[in-house]
Amino acid sequence: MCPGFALRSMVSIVAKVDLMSRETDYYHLLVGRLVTALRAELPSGFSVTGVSNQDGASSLPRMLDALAREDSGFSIPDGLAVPAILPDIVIAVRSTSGSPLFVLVEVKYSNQLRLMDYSQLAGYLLTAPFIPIGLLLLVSKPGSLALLSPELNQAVVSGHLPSSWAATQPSGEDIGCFRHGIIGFRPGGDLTWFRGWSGAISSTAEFAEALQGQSHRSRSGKC
Amino acid sequence: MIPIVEALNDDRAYVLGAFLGGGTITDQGWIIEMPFEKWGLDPRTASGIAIGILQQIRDRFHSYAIDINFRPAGKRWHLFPIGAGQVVRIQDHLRNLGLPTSGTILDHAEVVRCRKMFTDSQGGAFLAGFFDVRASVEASHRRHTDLAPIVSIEIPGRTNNFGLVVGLCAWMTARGSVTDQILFNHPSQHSAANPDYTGWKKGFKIRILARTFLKHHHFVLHPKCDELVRLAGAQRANEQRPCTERLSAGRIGAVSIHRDIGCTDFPDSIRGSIFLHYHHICAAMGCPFAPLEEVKAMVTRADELVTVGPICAKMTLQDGLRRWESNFGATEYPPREMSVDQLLARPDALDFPGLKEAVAYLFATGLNGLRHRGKASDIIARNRGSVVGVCNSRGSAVLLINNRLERAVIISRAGGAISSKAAYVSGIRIKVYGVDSGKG
Repeated sequence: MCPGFALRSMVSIVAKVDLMSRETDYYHLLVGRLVTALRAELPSGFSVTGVSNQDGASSLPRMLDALAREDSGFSIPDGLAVPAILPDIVIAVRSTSGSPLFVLVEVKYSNQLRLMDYSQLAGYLLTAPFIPIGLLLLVSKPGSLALLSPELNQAVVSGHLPSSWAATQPSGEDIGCFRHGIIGFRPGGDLTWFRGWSGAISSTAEFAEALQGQSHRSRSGKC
Repeated sequence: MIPIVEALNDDRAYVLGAFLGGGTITDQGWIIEMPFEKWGLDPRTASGIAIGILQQIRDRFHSYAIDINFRPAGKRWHLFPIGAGQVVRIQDHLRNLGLPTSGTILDHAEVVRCRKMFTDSQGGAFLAGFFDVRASVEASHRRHTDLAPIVSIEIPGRTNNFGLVVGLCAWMTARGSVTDQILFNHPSQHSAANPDYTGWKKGFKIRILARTFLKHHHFVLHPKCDELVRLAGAQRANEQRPCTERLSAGRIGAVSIHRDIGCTDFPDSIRGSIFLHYHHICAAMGCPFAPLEEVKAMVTRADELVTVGPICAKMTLQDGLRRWESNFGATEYPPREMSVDQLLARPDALDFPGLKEAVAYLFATGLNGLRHRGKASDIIARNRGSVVGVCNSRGSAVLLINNRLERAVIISRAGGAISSKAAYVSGIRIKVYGVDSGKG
């Protein structure tokens, strides 16, 4: 058999298998949906931009650079320490009067979200405390039934898992204030906010409100 | 006004979209008919649909304090209320949205007004309710190749609701998607080549590539979500260009004047007109995304395209002879015989746009209805020496016969119908929309 033919056949088979079956296949779609939903909810005067780590930028510093390229009015504050963590999606929201606010979205293509996904998200926010909102987004595989694993569900329902929290140094110095939300996404369907986590963001309207609230707080410098 | 909009939410918008898609309200109650056709009969799909109705759709009806049940009824699934199923609140919303509140909602609805009364999120949910009922995700919808799978939004021809179809497509386009093609329930579209074909009422189809749909729209019913993702995963074709950038005028084919062109069921803006392309109908219906310059360019070519006789009317030998005799007299029978090669080499062969299609039908070893199976060029290549019977009329039509397979086709020269001023059908003077009506 002609080697070129064999190679082309393999490439086409691999491509066929891969389409829409990896987590990264959905990043672009998810960025579009989140940005569109936020733009519709936020008052005029806010600009919303989003990037994923598939847009030529894999680490947080590069993703922020990519955001700055997308939105000419956006600039990274001087002296901001940006750790080289590897988030999936970052969204920037900017009001005409305020500095940009960031949202970190950790995407999982799986049957369920697990407790370790929460701890990864919380860890990311602690290392990049200028990001006040972290969302977990499950792209559910075909056939999945429940959004949360039993352990995560137990932690959420019992109220032991903080949906809104602040971190301080032993010296009393504030590290940051953080808020979470969980979104389910059935490919082919729409984004669906999880409503059973007390204090968490549970709708696009609440998401927009939280961002506007953070916008005021960032100007006052308080949690 | 608008307090009604404040009372809406995404779940209620979904329910209202489902009512538009398949709802009928009478004094006795209401029902939503979901035409899932063969897709809903497959046992693997059917179990998913049943679970989906109870888990995903029922939940949304709770926003109106209504509980629902369902029953499969052949190719259609019915949703209906458990108990009284008070529909008054739903009717209030329908009324405020400018939608019908009784009868079959789809038949007389339009969405130009109601779309402005939804938030972005509610609009998406309303369309999802409509798509769950009306969008087909069967793999059989495709553009020539399996690599361009299509989601087909299907609206029955009996509604003759051209305004709803154009309004929905414009709404979807305003939300960022690009429609691949619309098939309107009109003989210029469903039977452009055969003016006597009575089975042209095949309904409306808004067709959109699977990936485009996935990006801009959504379903709620999980089996439809899963099917959409499967289709999108198989798609290799690029997204369609926006309608306003589409160059369709150079690719339009000839259109014959169908005898039902003056169908009294059509709206006034459609009745009695010939349309050269679906964009031509979009323009006539006032769609803001219609490519007007392209449509104008098409209309200038009307005289070379519009044809009185059939461009390619396929039939049995018996029907062919009967029709030939009634239309043209029994002149020149029995036919002259010539080979396919000789026929295609005639100096006037190019004047007959349906000639190759006709030869493919006459000699195809397999047919899907009246369509040849396999590529026309391959069938012609295999039959270059085969014998065709040819009857010429004094005018512009030709009867072609394959005696062995007992098939016949009538073909005509393209054009001439508009300048001949002979184009009357059932007493109505036909016109090409935008040519002699002054519109378009």
